[in-house]
Amino acid sequence: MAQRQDKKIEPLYHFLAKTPLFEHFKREEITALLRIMEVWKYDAHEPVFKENDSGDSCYIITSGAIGVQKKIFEEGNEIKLSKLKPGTIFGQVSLIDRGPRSATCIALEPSVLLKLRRNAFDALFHTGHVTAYKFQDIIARIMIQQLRLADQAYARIIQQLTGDQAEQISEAGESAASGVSATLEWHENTETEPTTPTHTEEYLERDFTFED
Amino acid sequence: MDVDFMKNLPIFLPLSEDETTTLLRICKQHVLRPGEVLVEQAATTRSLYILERGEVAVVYEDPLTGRHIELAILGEGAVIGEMALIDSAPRSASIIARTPTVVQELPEKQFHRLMAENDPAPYSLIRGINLVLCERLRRVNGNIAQVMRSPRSFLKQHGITDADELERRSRAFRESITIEG
Repeated sequence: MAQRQDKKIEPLYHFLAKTPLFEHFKREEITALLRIMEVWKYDAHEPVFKENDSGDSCYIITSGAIGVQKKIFEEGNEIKLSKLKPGTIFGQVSLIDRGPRSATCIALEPSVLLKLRRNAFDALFHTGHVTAYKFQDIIARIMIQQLRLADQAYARIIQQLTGDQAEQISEAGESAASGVSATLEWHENTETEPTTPTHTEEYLERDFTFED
Repeated sequence: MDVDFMKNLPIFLPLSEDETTTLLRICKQHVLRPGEVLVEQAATTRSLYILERGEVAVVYEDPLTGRHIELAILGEGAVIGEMALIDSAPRSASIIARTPTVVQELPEKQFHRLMAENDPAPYSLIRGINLVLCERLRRVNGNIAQVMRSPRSFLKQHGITDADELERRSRAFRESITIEG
């Protein structure tokens, strides 16, 4: 069973300060965020949440590993999409839009997570705390990167299916059209962006992972 | 443009009246003639644009073939470049006026200055942008799952009706997806 743990700010601060996620945060900003977070410990094989669960919190992994999986086909098991390592944030989509979880996240080994609840985060945001502002910005960057990856994955699938380059581009262009920045060559672009967490490609929760 | 117009745009939903006014104050209006370019593909400008009147085309130029592909047509109320405003990636397509067009530019410099001053307005706008990003992420992931589930119906929608061809393509597709399940 998931168990709530005592929160020791000092070691948690040292952990977060080293993650790419918080590289632009000052000490007191990280501490302010930690103050509104909860520490939860999960056993191996224990789900943090399941696909379609309602949810409004996000998590940061401090130790262990979290598997992301999703039911795609009627028959058979969920498909394993990715394995998330310490320093990764996941669940932010439901934090923002309070919608159902789009995938199942499960502890692959004993894991400790920091949990941020929507209400606590909103309260911090509405007091005008710079930590909440910065965190909002971080989440935006992560989601943009995820959206670009998802666009790419979708473009690749369509290309595979239709074998048609033009089709691929116009289908994948949906968010390019509305965002005019979803690049078709995102690799070159995001890797030079200094404020984007660097290890995102292997770290981030991705709803879909395809291997070339 | 007035506060009421902006308040109705999804990305402005989380903003208070004061915050909307703050952003409106830094907006710059541009008037374009048909054929005029608002945003150039590959440019590294970061401003966000709100289409107040008229119509623009989103045009992608394939760097390999030089072919121009019209990705979309956007009308009144469209928001352009909200991702670039945040992560500064180069523009992925050009925006070209199709009709006489009025746009409001939310200039990157002033926007980022407000951020540096910890003004709540830009951060509330980022909240609004995040909501839109969530919606798009869910949609594209839904599309992917849908195509994976039934590649045949996707192919049919795209004009492939031959039974053997459908079978060949969907089987090749299934095999090409890495499933560690």
